[in-house]
Amino acid sequence: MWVDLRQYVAVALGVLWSASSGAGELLSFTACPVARDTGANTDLCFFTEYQGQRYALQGPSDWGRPELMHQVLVEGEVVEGEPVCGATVLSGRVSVLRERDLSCNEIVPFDGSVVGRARNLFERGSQAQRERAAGMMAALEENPALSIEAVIYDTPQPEPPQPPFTAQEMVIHFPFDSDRATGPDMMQFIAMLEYAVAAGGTVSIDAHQGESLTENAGVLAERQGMAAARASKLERIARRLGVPASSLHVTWRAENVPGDGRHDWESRRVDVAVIPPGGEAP
Amino acid sequence: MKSVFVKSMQLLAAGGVALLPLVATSGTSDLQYPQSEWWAPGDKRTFPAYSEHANEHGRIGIINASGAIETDGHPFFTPMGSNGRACVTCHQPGDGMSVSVTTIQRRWEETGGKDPLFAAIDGSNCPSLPQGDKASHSLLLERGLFRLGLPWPPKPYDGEEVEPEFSIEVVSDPSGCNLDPEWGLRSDSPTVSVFRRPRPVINISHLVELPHGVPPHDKFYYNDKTLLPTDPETGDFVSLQLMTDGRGISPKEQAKDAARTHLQRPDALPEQALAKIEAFEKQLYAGQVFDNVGGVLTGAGAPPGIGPNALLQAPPGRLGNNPINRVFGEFSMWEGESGETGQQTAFRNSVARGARVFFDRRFYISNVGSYNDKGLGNPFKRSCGGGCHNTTVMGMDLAPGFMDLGLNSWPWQNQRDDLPLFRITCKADVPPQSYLGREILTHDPGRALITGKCRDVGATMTQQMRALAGRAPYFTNGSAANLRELVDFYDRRFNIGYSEQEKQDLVNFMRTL
Repeated sequence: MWVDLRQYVAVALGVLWSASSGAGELLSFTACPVARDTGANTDLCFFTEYQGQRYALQGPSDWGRPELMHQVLVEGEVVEGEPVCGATVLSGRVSVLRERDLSCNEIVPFDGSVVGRARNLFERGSQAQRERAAGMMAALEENPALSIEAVIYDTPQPEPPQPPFTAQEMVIHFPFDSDRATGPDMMQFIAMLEYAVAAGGTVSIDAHQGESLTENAGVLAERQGMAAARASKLERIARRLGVPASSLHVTWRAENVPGDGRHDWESRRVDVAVIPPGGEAP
Repeated sequence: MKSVFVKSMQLLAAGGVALLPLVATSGTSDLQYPQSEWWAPGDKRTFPAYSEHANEHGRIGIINASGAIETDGHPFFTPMGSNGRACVTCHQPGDGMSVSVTTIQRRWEETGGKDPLFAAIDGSNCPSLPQGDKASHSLLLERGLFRLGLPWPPKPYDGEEVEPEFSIEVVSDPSGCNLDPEWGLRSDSPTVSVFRRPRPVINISHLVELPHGVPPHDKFYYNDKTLLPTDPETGDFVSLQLMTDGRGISPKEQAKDAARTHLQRPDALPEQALAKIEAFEKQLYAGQVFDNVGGVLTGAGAPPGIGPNALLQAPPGRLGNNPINRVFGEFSMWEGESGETGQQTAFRNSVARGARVFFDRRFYISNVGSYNDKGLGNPFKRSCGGGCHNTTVMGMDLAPGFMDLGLNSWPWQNQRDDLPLFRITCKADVPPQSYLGREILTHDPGRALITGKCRDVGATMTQQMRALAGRAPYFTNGSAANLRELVDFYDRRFNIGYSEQEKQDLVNFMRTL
């Protein structure tokens, strides 16, 4: 019953939300993504239309881009700035809903109104690596053999953690109904595990799952067992990377954190902490 | 047998691989084998340090980087099981270390179907069929497909029990094997029979290398950010690139699996034999070196990525979808007057254009299960080289790339009336296959037969693109009889709209790899 009531609240909030689209406005809705072609040599971008407004669909690196054939759950806050993909920018998160929706199938052809920027992997490298790549590019015509040499390098191994060891913490967020974390989050998680092993400390993993209160689709609740799945996945990684079972404290909250339509994506998370021997939780 | 040593390989043997000397290729070797050369198990001959093998389009060159070996007693070339086969039976040097349909058909004619190649266990559509009947071997003879019987439910994988997320039902099966009381899904040992091409045993050192420069994917599977499996012997993470469904995670594990199934060996291969097989496989480098129209493909003035030397020289496990590597390196030197004859120049110009189409021509990669849904977005607008075939000088997906390209599952697949058809029904509480849902018709569930996951249904591993000229037909299920059919599949599947010229250019480009 209370869920139904909250759906009415959501509709009321939707009316308020739709009345304006200024910076700071909070939005939570589901919709079909639309793909936009940005030119012959660039990737597509995605936006969605809701209540007569277009919103850009973007997120952190490796979070998971929108997919046609699926609706997205948009949870964000309008921010000032130049349009992206021809649409208003949101901060927050966009989740692909895993059930199919075959009506989500629109691609806007390239019309010159949004022109993409070609990217290449060199941009990720260090200054020295980018300079070397530029030198190789310039020398290719004279020495084409350079074109099969390595230009993508391993990142240098960090120095092993040294004492004094202090408590560490991080929060890993997840898309709705998913236990897939981003690559950057996993890199930070690995670094924390290595720190814990070097320190001989304990690792605490506390997983959550949540609801999202949307203005047009009511309350979306994550599948039962999502928090357990998130916890179990990170626990397995920790064990395989050398954290002894006796040093792992794994918990999860089976019940969904109730949604209120304000930053609900933050409920879908795992809190990770490393506590050195004799230390205190951060 | 011909003389066995090439001068440059003496340098190689003396200096070791670390010196990376260029091997004299380009048709300068006197070790040229005709297209019809059959390497029979148990033959006593020399596998040279460098050799060239004729195929339909020219010649492939194979560098045996540790120097010539005698096949007598070598476990790769010796029957190690009960059916007379050896590894070499299905990994023929002349066929880019796979086995082509042309070779298979010739072998049938030469032996009246008595060669161990046609062993009942997997060289026929089903062991219960009359083995003297040519029709019983139709999938092998017409498509180059071997039967693979996989246990259902799946065996534990990577140390963990597998609880399937779906049920599997046989809709139809022209081979009869999935419905067979002894060999089928309802037998005492429930088995799913699928039919696949043997992958080429070349350039393995590239395949087993973990990705460089793309952390954390030297440890993590890109799709779901689980850790990669580890080699049970070394404890090291493995790349998962070796096999279609990722079940054999190292050359040794693959050899164990092959000995048990394809060679019908009742007991385990000795460790010494496994080590020799792995060592041999990891030092083979192969690629096309001569084209019947394009002439010599390697050497001064040629694209540096062609031929086995490129594989020997280039660092493995690198993402090549950048403006310098362009996956297979520069081909621009073949854009102008580049041949000794007008015909040769025209061919080389076509190859150079094909390289540009391969790397530059973007299209919408859409609705590919285990690909678009691993974070890339649907659609993902990339070229062949910028998307799935992105590994420097190899052209497999560095990710690693299990994906349901549309080769196995309806509606994308050219619905095959020669293969079994399965209905997969996924449980209601698991994530569905992203673009096909929870009820899927497929000729091969692929990776899902190992992991039990609904999202993996139909997904198979991308393949390296080397030595293509000698090993038709293509794709895991042999559905493309030649390179033109392969290009046509992509054009149709992704609605690319290649022009006739672009299609021919891509074919010419691929046949030089």
